Amino acid sequence: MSPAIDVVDLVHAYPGPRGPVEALRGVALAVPPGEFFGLFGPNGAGKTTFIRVLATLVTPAAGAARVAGWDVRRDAARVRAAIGLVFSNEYSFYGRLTGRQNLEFFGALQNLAPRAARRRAAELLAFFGLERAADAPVQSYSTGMRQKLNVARALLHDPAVVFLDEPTKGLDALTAEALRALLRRELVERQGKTILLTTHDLQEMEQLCDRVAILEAGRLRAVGAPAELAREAGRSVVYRLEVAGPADGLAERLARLPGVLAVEPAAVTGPAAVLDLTFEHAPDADLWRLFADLGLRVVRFGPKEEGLVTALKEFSREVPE
Amino acid sequence: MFRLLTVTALIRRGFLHAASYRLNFFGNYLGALLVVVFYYVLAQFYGQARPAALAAYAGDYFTFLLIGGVLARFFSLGFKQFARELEHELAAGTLEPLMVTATPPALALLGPALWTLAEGVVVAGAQLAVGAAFLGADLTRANWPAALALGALTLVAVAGWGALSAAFVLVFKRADPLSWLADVTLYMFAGVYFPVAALPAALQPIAWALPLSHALEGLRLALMRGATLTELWRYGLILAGFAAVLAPVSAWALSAALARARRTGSLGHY
Repeated sequence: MSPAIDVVDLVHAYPGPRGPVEALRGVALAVPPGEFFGLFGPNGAGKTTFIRVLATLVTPAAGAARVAGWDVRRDAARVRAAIGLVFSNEYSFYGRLTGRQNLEFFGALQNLAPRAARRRAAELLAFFGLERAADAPVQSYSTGMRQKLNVARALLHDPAVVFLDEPTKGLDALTAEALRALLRRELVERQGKTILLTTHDLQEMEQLCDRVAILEAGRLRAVGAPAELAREAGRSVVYRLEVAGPADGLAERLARLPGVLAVEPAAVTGPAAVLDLTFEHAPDADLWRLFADLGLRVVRFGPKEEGLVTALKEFSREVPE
Repeated sequence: MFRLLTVTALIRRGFLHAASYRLNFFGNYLGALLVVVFYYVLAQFYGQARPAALAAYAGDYFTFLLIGGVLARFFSLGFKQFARELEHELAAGTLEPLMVTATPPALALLGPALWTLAEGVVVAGAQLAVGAAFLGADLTRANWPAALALGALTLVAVAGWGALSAAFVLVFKRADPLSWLADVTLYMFAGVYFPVAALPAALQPIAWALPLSHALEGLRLALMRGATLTELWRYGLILAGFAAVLAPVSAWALSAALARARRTGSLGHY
């Protein structure tokens, strides 16, 4: 099966006051269909440029990129028909038009017939829980509502590949969590879409992505599963566990679990205890059974941010300029 | 078929946006009506006098002024609106979302102006109708097919200039210099308020170098005197010449400006 995103030696530089500013320096990458892929790196690493090249908004200086089998230079129109792009700027709507009018308009521009555009807009508004606000002007929407509309717009024509440029930026924790669940479960697991995500939220990256690429100063430093990258960077995998109930003796009991290298109490907030568990490898589903055997009431359990941050630092250092 | 639906959607979007500013929306129509009254009042200063300079048109000054003012306003939209709407899209952050749709880039760039142009046709028609029905503008001899043909050619020529202005916006982000140039030359030299023949002899070559001078002259002859397309062939040929030059030049300029914006990553900049 050919990759949904296939990039070879991609190079791009922007003109700057003191000469060209290199944004992408020989990036090569292949993302298979149906994968949730994350692009991770510090500000100015070239993540947005990379997405903009794949979305045909920026023409690369050199190299090749294919999306859904189409070349971004030669078949730009076909690429655009195959992709959905969620912009990091949620103010990219006609504010005086309603959410429904905006979606119907962009649906028409995606070659949907009027009836199909109306139906699809209604479906997506319902899906994102925006029915009640559907006929209110977008300028009256909250940031979260705009961002949901942003994702809805990208899905109007049912694209095979979706680019998400910081989709949860500015969202409150609950809305962000709901959007993440929707992206993972609905778009990737149920609909089989390929997603390329950029975000500064590392937990989001580790939670959502099958694989992650670390981009730094326009160069691809590493590609792999988040836990794999953290491990390759010389770190074991650190997960954060939050449990309800007394914390007495908990660290000792957890330390005896198979695969656990260390347990460090992180905080005790009211009736809950927060601990950082260092594993030899990423834990599997059996761990939940072991937690249950210990009688733990787990409030939250997931990878701690540090894994990818460390990986970024390590991989940035490994490759000389 | 899809392109027609896209054009319709662009026009509808423009209408919804314009209509959302209700006071401004209806105020514009009232303003268009008052302009007709203003031309009428202005023309009354001449009374029944028929200046020699108007003899060629076989009509009165009010009709002359109405046709010139109404059509100049409409063609001025063709000059300026593509650039103006593109500036709005850039400022609103909606240009890039338009440019990643399946709509061809040229239509996505120029399409936002379609509502204003469509509205302009209706307003111009209404202004002429009000002038003729209630204020005595004499369009009884008008040769409408000839006027429409000449008007269409003029629109192609001015839209060419308009697309050049849009290309200018893609590169420089503002088209004020070109809009200013279009307005000044239009209202000073193109014979909107007075015949080109009334200009000082030294300035007349400038006037005849402009497509709108020929357009207004030909359209007035068609609407006031009922001149046929055969009689107006010279104006038609000149306008076709302008259109033949401006259309490909503007298409090339728009394409080059878009390629530059994509190369420099400045498509969404404003």
